[in-house]
Amino acid sequence: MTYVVQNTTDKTIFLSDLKAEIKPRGMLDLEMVASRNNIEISRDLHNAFKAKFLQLGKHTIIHTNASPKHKELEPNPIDEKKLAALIKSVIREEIKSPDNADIKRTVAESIDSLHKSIREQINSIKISEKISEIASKELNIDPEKLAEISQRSIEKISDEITSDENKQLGKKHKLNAGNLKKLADEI
Amino acid sequence: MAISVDAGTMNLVKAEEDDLVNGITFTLERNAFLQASTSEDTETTLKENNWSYVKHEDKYYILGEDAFKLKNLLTVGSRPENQGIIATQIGELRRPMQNGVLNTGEEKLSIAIIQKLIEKLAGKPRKPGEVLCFCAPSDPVNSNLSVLFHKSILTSFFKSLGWEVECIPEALAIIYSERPVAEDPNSDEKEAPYSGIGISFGSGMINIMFAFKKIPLISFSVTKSGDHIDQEAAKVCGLNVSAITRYKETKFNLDKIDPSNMKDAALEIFYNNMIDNTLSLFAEKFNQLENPIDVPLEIVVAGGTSMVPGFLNKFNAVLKGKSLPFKVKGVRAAENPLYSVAKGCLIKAMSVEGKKAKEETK
Repeated sequence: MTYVVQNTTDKTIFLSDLKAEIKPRGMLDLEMVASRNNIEISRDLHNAFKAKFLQLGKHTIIHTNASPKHKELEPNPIDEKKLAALIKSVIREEIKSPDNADIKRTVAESIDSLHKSIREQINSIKISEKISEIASKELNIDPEKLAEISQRSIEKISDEITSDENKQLGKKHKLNAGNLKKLADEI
Repeated sequence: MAISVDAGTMNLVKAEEDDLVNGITFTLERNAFLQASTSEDTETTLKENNWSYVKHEDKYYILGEDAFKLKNLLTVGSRPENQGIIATQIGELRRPMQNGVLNTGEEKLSIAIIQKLIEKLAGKPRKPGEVLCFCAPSDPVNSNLSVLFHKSILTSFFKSLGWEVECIPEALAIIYSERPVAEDPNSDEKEAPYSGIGISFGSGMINIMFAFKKIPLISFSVTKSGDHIDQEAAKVCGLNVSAITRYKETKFNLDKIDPSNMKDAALEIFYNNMIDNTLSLFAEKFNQLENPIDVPLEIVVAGGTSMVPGFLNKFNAVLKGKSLPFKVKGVRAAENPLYSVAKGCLIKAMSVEGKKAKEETK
């Protein structure tokens, strides 16, 4: 999921609640100016998408033979609460029956991990759905162009990161180079 | 001085030549980080323990191996009686790469933190014109992952550090470092070096390359590799993925499968399936070659997922049971499976630097 948007109009668009300015026909990675949470709840962005003044950029790979898999929605999809109740009932059943502490613990651990991962997935779907719902039409952007725009916003964040310069990273392993130079000459 | 970086889903490996002792120095770091809880003495604690960390706004992030160790040390499991005590305090280990590429679903901050980690590892060139070669996965056949986006992001990042950047397909690096040789009746030497099949079994992806006389003829990747095996085996056994990973890395041996052990049985099935699927996909691609190569081909395997004891025997067993459209000269493991890709990239970087130097002296 990226938050690169393109202004489809010939006028500059201001998203005042994100303090963002998008030049006519220009593109902007909204993560340059705001956090994902603020982007998701931006009223101005919502309105701009509704009015089709902005398009959301996405990137897809074009070199693959794989066909994307689409999951059909179940007629009555299970929600997070139902799922939690179901998992709890399974745990209760498991804990009641066998008298083996290891099994109980293992089952509890795995169900807990499953529950957590499902909750994360539900959350990510919710976020993605929110932005796709309002961005009526997505725009395919050249992945290299998109990477360039994204790298600029990464660099901006990177400038704000401070680190301990003295600490050396990584485990070192020295090996005989053998015929490294010969191989480099050969290729 | 040329260097290389193998940015894998699990590990980051840097390779550089050590001229003085005719050696290569590999530096290995985990591709992960952990957010530390923030308090008044967080920074002091991090410094006292000599943990690698970065700070963004008022939050601290522990990097690489230190993050891994800390996570393992402090995780006491999610037993009901421990819930909310320790597990919630240390947070989740973050791995900003997934299936061999940068995970675009991650916040940009995650990618920025990993770039800091890579920057600390690779450093900056000592003089202009020094070459850094990194590898990128080939296009996946079973997913619509954005390989080009990943490659472009890393290229632009390494350039920003001042390097002259080269990028090669991951499995081609194995061909460069392991130098498989095929027979070639038409040449004077009767052999064709850099001709064979290189397969990198990483944690996120399997990368395959068939090259003949250095020329890549078939190149693709598959996303179901080590991480996928762990996830599927964990589901079958009803265990945490990390428990299966730990078991796989410390006790699992494909030569000594105990069928009554659920973990052994599940892992063997998924290893079997991974090798079988890889060979089938390769055979399919081989059949599409316009000019089929009929000389026996050597297969070289590398990558962390191939380091499980007994992997080579399992590979040979699966290979034996398959009808393939080419002859196999032999199967061997790379000299150093974890470093083979970084070494191949280093060879490429040195080659590019050498060629440039020659051109400049002309």
